[in-house]
Amino acid sequence: MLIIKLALRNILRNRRRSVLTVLSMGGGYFMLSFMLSMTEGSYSNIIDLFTQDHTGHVQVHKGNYLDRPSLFKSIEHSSELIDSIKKNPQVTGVTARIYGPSLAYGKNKTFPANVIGINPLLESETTFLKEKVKQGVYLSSAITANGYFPAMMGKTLAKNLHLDIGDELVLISQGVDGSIANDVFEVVAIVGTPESFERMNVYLSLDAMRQFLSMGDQVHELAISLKHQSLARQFSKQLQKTYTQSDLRVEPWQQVEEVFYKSMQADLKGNYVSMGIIIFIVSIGVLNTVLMGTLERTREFGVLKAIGTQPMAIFKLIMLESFFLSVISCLLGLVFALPVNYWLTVVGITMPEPIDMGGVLFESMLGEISWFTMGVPALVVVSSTLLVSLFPGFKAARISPLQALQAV
Amino acid sequence: MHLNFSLAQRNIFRNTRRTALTICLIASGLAALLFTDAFIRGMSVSMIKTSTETFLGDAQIHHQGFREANDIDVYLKKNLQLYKQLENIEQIKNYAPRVMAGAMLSSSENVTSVIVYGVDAQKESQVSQLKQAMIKGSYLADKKAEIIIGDDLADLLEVDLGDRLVITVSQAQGGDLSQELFRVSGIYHFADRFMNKGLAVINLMQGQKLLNINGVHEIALRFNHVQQASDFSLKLWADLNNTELETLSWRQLVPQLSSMLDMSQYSTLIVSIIMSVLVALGLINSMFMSIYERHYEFGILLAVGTRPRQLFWLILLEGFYIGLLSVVAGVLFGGLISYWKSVTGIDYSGTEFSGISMSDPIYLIIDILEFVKISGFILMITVLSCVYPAFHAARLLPSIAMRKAL
Amino acid sequence: MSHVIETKNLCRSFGKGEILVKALDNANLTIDKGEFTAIIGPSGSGKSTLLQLIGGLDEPTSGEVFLDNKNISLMSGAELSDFRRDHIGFIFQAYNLIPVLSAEENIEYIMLLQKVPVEERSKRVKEILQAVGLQGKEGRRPAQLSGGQQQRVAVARAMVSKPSLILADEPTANLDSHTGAALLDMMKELNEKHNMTFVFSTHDPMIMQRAKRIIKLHDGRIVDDERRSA
Repeated sequence: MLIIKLALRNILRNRRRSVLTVLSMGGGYFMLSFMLSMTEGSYSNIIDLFTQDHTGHVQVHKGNYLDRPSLFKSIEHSSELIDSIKKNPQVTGVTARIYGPSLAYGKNKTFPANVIGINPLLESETTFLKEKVKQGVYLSSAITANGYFPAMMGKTLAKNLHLDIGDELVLISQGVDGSIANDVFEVVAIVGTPESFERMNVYLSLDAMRQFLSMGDQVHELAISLKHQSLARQFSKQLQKTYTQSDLRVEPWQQVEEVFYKSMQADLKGNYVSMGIIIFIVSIGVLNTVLMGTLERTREFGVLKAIGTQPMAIFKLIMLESFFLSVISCLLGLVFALPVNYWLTVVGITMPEPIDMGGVLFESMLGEISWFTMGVPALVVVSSTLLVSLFPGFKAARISPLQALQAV
Repeated sequence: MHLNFSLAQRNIFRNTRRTALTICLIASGLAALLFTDAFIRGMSVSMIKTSTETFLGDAQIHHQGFREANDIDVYLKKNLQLYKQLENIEQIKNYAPRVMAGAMLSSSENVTSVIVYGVDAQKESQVSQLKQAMIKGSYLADKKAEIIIGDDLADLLEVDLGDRLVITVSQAQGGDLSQELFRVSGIYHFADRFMNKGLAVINLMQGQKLLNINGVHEIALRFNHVQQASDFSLKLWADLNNTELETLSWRQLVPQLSSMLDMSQYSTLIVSIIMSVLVALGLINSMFMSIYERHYEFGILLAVGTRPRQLFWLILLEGFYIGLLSVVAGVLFGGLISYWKSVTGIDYSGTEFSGISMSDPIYLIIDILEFVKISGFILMITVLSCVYPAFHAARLLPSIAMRKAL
Repeated sequence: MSHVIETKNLCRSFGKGEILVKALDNANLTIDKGEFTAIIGPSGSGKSTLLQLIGGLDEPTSGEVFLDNKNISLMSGAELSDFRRDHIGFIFQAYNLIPVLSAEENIEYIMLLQKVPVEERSKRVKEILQAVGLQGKEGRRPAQLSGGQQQRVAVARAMVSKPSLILADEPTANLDSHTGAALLDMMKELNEKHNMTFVFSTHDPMIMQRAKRIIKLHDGRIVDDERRSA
């Protein structure tokens, strides 16, 4: 089509100006894509990490257990609930837990410990706990050869108590019936690292826990993992609807780790503001360029109109020129953004010291290559360029041939 | 040359719209930079303040090995001597000795594990904000069986003022379990979740008795100026670090915070570079356009005997004036926004970075010297961006310049 | 004999290969002091090119130009600029003036380049304005002057530094005949009074009428060189 040919050739007329403009827009694209990639990648990565680590994507509690945990706020008939939740195709794993903060006694030291009763099989389907066993053997529900219930310990706790595999661990707590809970367990595994979430935890099987705390068929928490973390909110809403009778609350990870989520949102907001400023500055430059390019061709447009060209055609010409410029810029930006983002996605930037955001540790910043991180910047650059070209476009379309011919 | 000055000034106003847009471009970049700087400054100060003033202190002294093992047997035995030594160090304003241990805290309704701190009430109030954080009841008054806890902990244990709490802890030197009864004498509230939920505070002497030690685990220090805690050239660090003592500043105690703040400094630098590149590109384009329009005129100037070098300086001067105007606009705009936010602050409540709850809004801090530096930097970038166009103008052959451009 | 202008085998071509255009092909001429010479020829004959080469505004493809016996083809950029500043006055067809300067500032410009002290400058500007009949309009910017007035300011500027040579490229092309005639008469008078050398590139018959010598160009070559008594 003639107009496309014209537009392309016009861009090539003033090479230097076009190059500079393309550099500017391309730089903007690159920056946007880079920033988006960093935030999407890092956050996605982190969310996956901690939801698969111990939180799960959705949790179920009794009443306001999440805010005010109490031994007595427990969920009844957990096995039935688990079975019904498992039927949902979005669910990849469900597990139940009992929490009983206790004093851990080892040799001649005590330390407070978070004692957690788990279903070893279900837990290994829902979180990464099994993979975190550094020494020893993963928990089972059976009693050990020595006649004790097995326990897994976090690294720091084990170190503080000077306990190792095979040692005896004494736990003291308060049972559901108010009595003192006091039991001996055998350490069968050490899990995690001194910095990981489970460092001060002790894991027992549900049976062991129930015996320890004199509990019945109750649990404190159900943790559910889904196919993808983005399904959490929707899933929670739907599941909650089925629990209108009981006082059960279903919470997506955004609520379970609320502080992290809020911090992440705040950080994202800041990012979006920065990106906005970048695009603004690039756009002003583009406006300047396109405006000038239009004005200096006043005479030429005058001639075009004098010989019968429609105003709309001139408007379209200007818009088309801007469109091509922006597309070329995005392609140029893509050439640089792709390898950089790829490197970020695969290798990432390792932090010298992990960053703590809302209690969750970022050890490395990862990038992400997706339609979102590569496509949205293009959309933004192209649309802002088109937006900014509207004014010069209109001006050009409204040139009166006579005035134009009399002009310089 | 005086002529160049007046020529340059008049030239930039020939095309007011273009000049205005260019100024807008540069001024926006500058304003963004200024705002970022003030924001990072405000955030850093706020986070350091919250971190050190709430409970951590500017620095802490422990017995070597305590922090690694968290072993309550590893405590400072010669503490009285140490206090005298601290009183003689001029940079240290106040100190607060503490004992600490993990324990079980049980009420009639619930039981949970906490860290129990035994503090010297009076000294503690000079170092941390514990006293100011009280919302109910009264602060520690060296009376027997006093215990103060956070409001979230009180909710969790379902207790109020006057209710009973039992601390169960294993003692040092042997590990025997000891239990004691306390009554809730006060409730405090901090922005920090951990302090509200996981901490309980009793009097030092009772803590020592409870744990069966006659020393302290930790001494929190407050300096005269918090920056002194980052000045590792001071003699006190050498004096207070040896085989027995380990004295660390907040930077080492909360390395995550320290490194996050360092990274923020970098981000100002990176933002500056990005901004400069964007501004430069837009500016070069603008300059070239203004030169093209004047090709014929430049041809005449050269024909009439103007040296190429003078043309070069003319363009640079024009860039300089544009830069000057942009700096004024940018400082005004950026400065106003920064000032406005330095008064009203930016709300980050509910978020937590590096373990610090950002409950207080972040108030921007304007550092005039830094503003001047940044403005100067942008001005320099503006002038430097004009070198390429100016060069081009100076190398024009008059005959070609006077050929009517397309 | 010292000539004001001398060209030796002067050539100027543009383009390459097939599209090679020889704007000027082996021009050899001399012009002496006090001449009032017109270089004429049809469009594309090379007259503007010849004038530009003489004035050092363009670089020859081959050949040399001597002004006051100095080979300007060998001069460096700064030297050439200074030479033009001190020895040549230029008048172009249009857009002679710096738009942001007033009439008197435009005239003053060259003297500023020459670092002439301020009292001397003001004196000469006043004299020159009178000579071209523009007293009272010195504060006006070019946009506020008519075409003829602008050209007169151009003439004033070209003359104020008392150059040995004034080159004028189609100075009357944008003027109506009445104004053009007045301008030319003024220049003729300056030529006779001060013995200033004028070289025009033109196809205006009014200039040809007044010229004392007419050099004709055709397709880049000098085809005729006629002296007459005016």
